[in-house]
Amino acid sequence: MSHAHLRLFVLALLLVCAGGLASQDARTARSSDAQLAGAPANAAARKNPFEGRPDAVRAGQKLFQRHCAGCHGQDARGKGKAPDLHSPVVQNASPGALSWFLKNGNLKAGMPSWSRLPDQRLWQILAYLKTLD
Amino acid sequence: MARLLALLALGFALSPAALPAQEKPYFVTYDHQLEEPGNLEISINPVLGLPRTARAFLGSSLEIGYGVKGWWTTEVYLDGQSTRGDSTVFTGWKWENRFRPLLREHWINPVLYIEYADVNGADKTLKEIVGFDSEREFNLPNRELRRERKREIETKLILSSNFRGWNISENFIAEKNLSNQPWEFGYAVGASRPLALAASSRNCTFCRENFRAGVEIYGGLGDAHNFTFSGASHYLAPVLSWELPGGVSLRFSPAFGLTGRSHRVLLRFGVSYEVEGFGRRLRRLFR
Repeated sequence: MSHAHLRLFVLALLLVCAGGLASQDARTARSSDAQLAGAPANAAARKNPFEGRPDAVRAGQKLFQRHCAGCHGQDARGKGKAPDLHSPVVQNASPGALSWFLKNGNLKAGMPSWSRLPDQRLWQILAYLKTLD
Repeated sequence: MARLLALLALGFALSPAALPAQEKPYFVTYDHQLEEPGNLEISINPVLGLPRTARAFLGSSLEIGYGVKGWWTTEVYLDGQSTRGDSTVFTGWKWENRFRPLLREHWINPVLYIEYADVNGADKTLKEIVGFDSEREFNLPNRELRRERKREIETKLILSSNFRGWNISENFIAEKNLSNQPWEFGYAVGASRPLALAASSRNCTFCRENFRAGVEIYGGLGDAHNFTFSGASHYLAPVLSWELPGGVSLRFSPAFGLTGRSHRVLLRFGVSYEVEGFGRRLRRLFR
């Protein structure tokens, strides 16, 4: 690799990192709330087949620690721009709407899509989330 | 062969401690899952090639990927290879970017991919197969292969769907060597599924939920002058990934050549880990 290429490469990387660092956005939580409220009616009406099952809650807690705690915190109280999952907006939302939101994410605001996880695991995570105060 | 195996073992030994990693099992096919924003993923992907006529080789790429936005992932690859009875050489670098134009999940989710590569002719990472790529090109010694310099632009249309635990992905590849060569085309198709859809309530290492299995098929489609399946390399490759409880992800795939131009067998390995909140940590440094 020539020095010119190397410089170009490092410059490009720095630009990319700067773009990522500039992504802090105070509107994130509001944007996610709005998107949650915008879940299609048929998706929002879906029931959690794992609701109230203690084994599902434990499995959901394990999945939460693996996939979600990095951004939302071990206690799900939120950190940085990741919202508090104890909040009324989350706790009062229907399991179907939350499941739809997890699948779609909010890519503009930094919430990834979790469609790569099977439905069963998303429902298990939601069974756990609904046990939070 | 002992040298190749020692290099392979070294690659695994040098891989750092566990952090949560992405679960995709494919080596060649891309799905629509991008890096989480602010996360840095580091992977080592060695490929042990056992060609019919050429010498055995170990190609390897160090992959560093960063989630710039939820809809944009950028990755850098540093490639090298070691050929049995020949030499070990650095072969070049690649810079890829993937963009999700549609921000919600659909039945079919498109991703646009663009890559710039500056590699030499000795590159043996075989990250994709295009045109009329053949194992015969690997017959020459490294010192001759290195003389050829390839500056390439590669684009992909990635289409991917998740349905009932299954992922089905299709990639259409178009690659252009900037030194007045025709466009070359290739494809990759993959399907995979976790061995268990629901998670168990206990932490476990060998339970089925931690494994994902599937298959990839990939190969060349000729070039702009001759768009065809025939005369190109094609591979069928079962894939298996294993997500360890600590978060390190291991992948393995034996790829079997389906045509006379293909390598007989390619054994692909992958070790990945993810630095969560890399962007956040970097930001703190500059406060």
